[in-house]
Order: sequence, then structure tokens, then C-alpha cells
Amino acid sequence: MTGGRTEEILPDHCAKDVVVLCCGNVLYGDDGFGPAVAARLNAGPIPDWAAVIDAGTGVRELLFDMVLSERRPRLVVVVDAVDLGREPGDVFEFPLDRVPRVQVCEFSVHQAPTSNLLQQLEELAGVRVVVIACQVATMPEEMTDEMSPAVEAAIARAAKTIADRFLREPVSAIAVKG
Amino acid sequence: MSKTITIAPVSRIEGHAKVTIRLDDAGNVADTQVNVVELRGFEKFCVGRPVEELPRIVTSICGVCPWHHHLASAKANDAIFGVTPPPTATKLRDLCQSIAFCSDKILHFFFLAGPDLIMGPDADYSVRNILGVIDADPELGRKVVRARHLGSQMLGIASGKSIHPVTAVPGGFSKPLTEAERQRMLPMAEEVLEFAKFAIAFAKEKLFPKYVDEIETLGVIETGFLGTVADDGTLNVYDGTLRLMRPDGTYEEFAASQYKDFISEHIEPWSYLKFPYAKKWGAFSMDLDAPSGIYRTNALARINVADGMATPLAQAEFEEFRERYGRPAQQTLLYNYARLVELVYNAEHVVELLNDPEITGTETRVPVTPRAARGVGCVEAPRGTLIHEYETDDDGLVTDVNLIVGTTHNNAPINMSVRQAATSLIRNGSYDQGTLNRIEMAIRAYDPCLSCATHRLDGTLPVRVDLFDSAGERVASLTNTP
Repeated sequence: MTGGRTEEILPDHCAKDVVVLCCGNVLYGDDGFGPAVAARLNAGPIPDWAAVIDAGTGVRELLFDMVLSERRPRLVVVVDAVDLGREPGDVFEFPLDRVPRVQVCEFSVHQAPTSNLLQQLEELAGVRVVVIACQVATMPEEMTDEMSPAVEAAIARAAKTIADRFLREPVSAIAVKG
Repeated sequence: MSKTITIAPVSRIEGHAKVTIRLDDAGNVADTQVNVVELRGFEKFCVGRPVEELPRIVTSICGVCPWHHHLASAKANDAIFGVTPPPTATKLRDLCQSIAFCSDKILHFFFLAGPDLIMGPDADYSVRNILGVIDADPELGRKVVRARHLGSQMLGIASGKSIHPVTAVPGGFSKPLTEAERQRMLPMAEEVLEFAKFAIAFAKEKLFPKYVDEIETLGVIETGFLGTVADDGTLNVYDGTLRLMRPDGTYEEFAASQYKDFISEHIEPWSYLKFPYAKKWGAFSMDLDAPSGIYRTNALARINVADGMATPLAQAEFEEFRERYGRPAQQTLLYNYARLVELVYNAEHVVELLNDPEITGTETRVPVTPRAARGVGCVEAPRGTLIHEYETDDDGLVTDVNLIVGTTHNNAPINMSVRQAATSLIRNGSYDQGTLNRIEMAIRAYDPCLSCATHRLDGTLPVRVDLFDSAGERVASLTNTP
């Protein structure tokens, strides 16, 4: 007995043409940028060919499924906070090909290298990956739900950019930087 | 000249695990330390908040185990408010717990342990991963991801959200399961069970026989074990009594609320994380020749402490495991086998619960009233016994929080397994990449939770292996940082 046709059981992160994966931990200040963007986007209309997912700190599991799935998105937009020494609150596209491939020292799924999974998704699975990053002001050492003013102000801006670029027209019409 | 092999974090905030192996002048292992970072600031973050917010907050602690924190927190809330959820609510929580367990077991075995076992510990890292496995066996990949899709769908149906659960609430479960939902879920659950049967048969036939020597030698230590059992002594991952077993197989049982009468926490100056130990067994010692107070949790522990399994297929697997390896089984790599026995149990349990008429009951919660209280909630998380302890004031606001997660219980055993593996593999200064990979395997068997505190996209990751001589010169490395 089967649980249904594959397309019936596919989760959104595999079934939709465009998937916006918003990553981060809301318990660590500016690291909560991604989930905040997800909340903002999901407060508005999302076309039925897209999904905006608050992946929290569990994005690796979603990417794992995506890499293995026979049905995958055509475009994955990853939204995350980073610390690259830029101006706090700066929202920019982070070139995936500039993220270094690293040897896997995987003691746990908690540590699976997201960058590797994303590159494998693009190189081996044919999924276009775009990373939208926001420069943090600080990454706190202890839990706090307080976000810096600069990053907080960037949420709306990032949500609008993502909606305008990726959620207005189906993926074949989206211009994605190479 | 002595040498130091250090598996080091990049920095304190990024680094969540640091492993140091020191060699003596002869090139043999003199000492090892595994240093795991714990959550910082969690108690301060929670104090002053309404306790009923915690089941929602704690799902952000860990992106891999949100359901288990969610349920442990809900149970702690039940204790704080002094209520017992209706039977339907307990069964719905139990259902989600087992579905989440299945997905986790599949993920761990095929994503982490599987590549070691299928590709081999001497394989290059570029293929010793799930994609290497899929290249070797594409049909296996399809089966794995379909089983995970089914788990995700089932959690979504049962709880409304598969990621960041919110459905377990103080006093119950916020949403009943309709008959239509149950009928959608049942064939999915049956298919996951078929996959569980396939997975353990596949592993027993094609994988474990290749590693008979490693199973008997790699990371093998002698410890006690901690797990949860039901009233009839069978393994239970949602509720029951804690059973703390000594290395000789004798044991004591206690309610989770009494855990502090049995478990103390030792502190080492070089460690970020405490070392829980069984206080009634004597002073704490990680000496491989004379360990004291040391116990393990997670799959192997649960199989060891249980008298049996409550479902028939899992019971048959359990009996085969026990006949071959005895009780308690101490071989660390058997965690991987034990995980698959648990996968079968949890898959059967999901089917069992979906066939239970009470699962579609409409009474799913009882009212709660804030009060000053102490409450302990405990479930088995995939990585071990998970304890949430809270205290509240008269208004139901949190005044104190303490968590012991599975990996914390295993802190001393992980240290000992690394010591054992390194001691047996590194002789006269001789080691290679395969040696270090095998030490990695010993750690990975525990599937430690090395803190998902922050998520980094730029490729820097929390663990690096560096080999240094006593003069501080790096002589070799196993690293995941550029």
C-alpha cells in the first residue's frame, strides 16, 4: 500500500518552482533577520508557484530533501544574515561561487555545511540558487531577541527586493544573475 | 618531542566543538579532550516570560530536533500547571514524537552514518557523503527522500506545521485530528514502516558485516546507560520512567522529576559543557581503565535499558540484536544499528496510534491556571534523554530554567570514545587521514548536538582538526574551514 503519488506528498520546498528559504535563529538577535523577512513576505500574497519558508536553523534538512528529490524547485532564494564586515543593514546578493567548498567534518546533521549543499544543488541538481544576505551589526554570544536597528530596518527593504525580483512572475521570466 | 592534535573551533562564538589529542614523546596518545559548547544565555532569555511561551521558544534551540524540545517543554508546562492532558492529546503528542523520530533516524543513518558505512572510512570526503551514496545506488536515494517526504507531510497534517511546531500546548494539543486526516495519514505511515523494514534489512545484509572489526574495536568503552521505559519495561520515547543502568546491567528507576537525586554535573576547567554523571556510583572519572559514574544516552542506551519493544517487528529486531550483542552492549558503533531498531519501532508505533480510535477524539486540552511551581518535562530525543525543568512565580512567569540535552549526557562518553579510538589508532606518531576519519566516526556515532545556535552561510563551520607539535607548529589537519 502506498501513501499516495509522489506529487501529492511533496512538501512545498520540493514542489514549488520558486522557494525562498529564510534562515536564521530568532533567539540570536540579528541572526533572526531571515525569519523576520519570511514573516513579512508571508503576510502578503504569495503566488501558488512559490513558497516562502521560515527554515530557522533547520535549512540543512530541507536542502537534503531537495537534493535527493526527483522534483525540485527551479530557483531557490536563500535569505540569511552574514558577517562580512560590510555596513550593518546592507542587503546584497552573495555570490554562491565565491563561497569556498570545504571539507566535510560532519559530526552531526547540525553541522552539515550549508554552502556545500547549496553548491551541490546548483551543480548537480540543476537548481538555480541565489543568496540574499544582510550584514549584521553584531552576532550576539548569548541569546537575545533584540535585533539591531540597522538590520531591523533592512527587513522591509529585503522583503520588497525579494518580492519584486522573484515573486512577481514565474521563474522562466525571472532574470537571475549568473 | 610531544605533539598535540587539536580539533579546534575557529572562534568561541563560531566554534561549537573542540577536540584535542595530545601525543607523548613516543607518538602515542597521552590525553584527549572533547569540548562542546552549550547554549549560552538561555536561562536569562527565558526568565520573566510566561511559561506557556516556552514550548514555542524552545523550537528555535535546535533546527534538527524542534519537536522533541517542543514536547518536553509542553510536558514541563503540564507539570507546572498541575494538569494531565486528555488521552487524545497525549496520543497526538506521542504520534508527532514518533513521526519526528522516524524522520530523524532516516536522516542520520543515510546522511551521516550511511556514507561512512557505504563508502568506507577511507573514502575521500568528496564521495563520503549522501551524494556519493546516491551515485552508488540511485534507487536508495529515491526511497530515502520519499520516506522523509511522507514524514514531513504527516507532521503537517497532524500539527498544521511540520517546521517550528506550535501545536503542543500546556494541558494538551491545540488541534484534534479529523477522521479524514487520519485516513490520509495511515497509508503514509504504512509506507514509512515498509521503508523502515527495508532500511534495517539493507544495513544488516550489506553494511554491518563489512565492519565487524570496527564495531568490536572503534570507540568501545564501558559505561552505564540511561533511557526511558514504559511500565512494562519496553522502550518508550514519549513518556515513562527513567532507567539508569550500571555497566554490569543492574539498574535503578526514577521519575524524571527526581533526576537531581540521581544525576550530578561535574565540571572540567577546559570544558564549556558540564559532565553529567550518576552520583550514586561513586566519584566521576573518565579513566578508560576505571571509569566511574559514566553513562550514555541515545539509541544504544535505550535499547540496552529496555526489556523489549512494544511492537512486534521491532521486538523481533530487538531480540536479534540482543542475542548477538548481549546486554548491555558497549560497542559504540552499534548506535547505528540501534537507531534502525528504533526506526522500526517508531514506524510501527505511528501505524498503531493511527489505528487507535482515541486518536480522533475531540477533547484535546484542559484549562490551566498560572501558579508558583516547579515542573519537569522529559522525553527521549533522538540524541538522548531530554530534560526541561522550569520554575515559575505566582503569575506563571519563569524564574528558573534548566535543560539537560542528550549530548550533554554523552559529554563524558564522547570524550572517552575519542580517547579510546585515538589511543588504539595512533601509535608511535603514525596517523593518516583515514585515522582521523575513524575518530570522526566514533564521535559521529553519538550524533552529538553541537549547537545550531547561529546559522552561517559563508562556509565557516564550528569544527576543525589541527595537529600541533608541542612547539605549537601545525603538522596536519582535518578541517572544515578554508
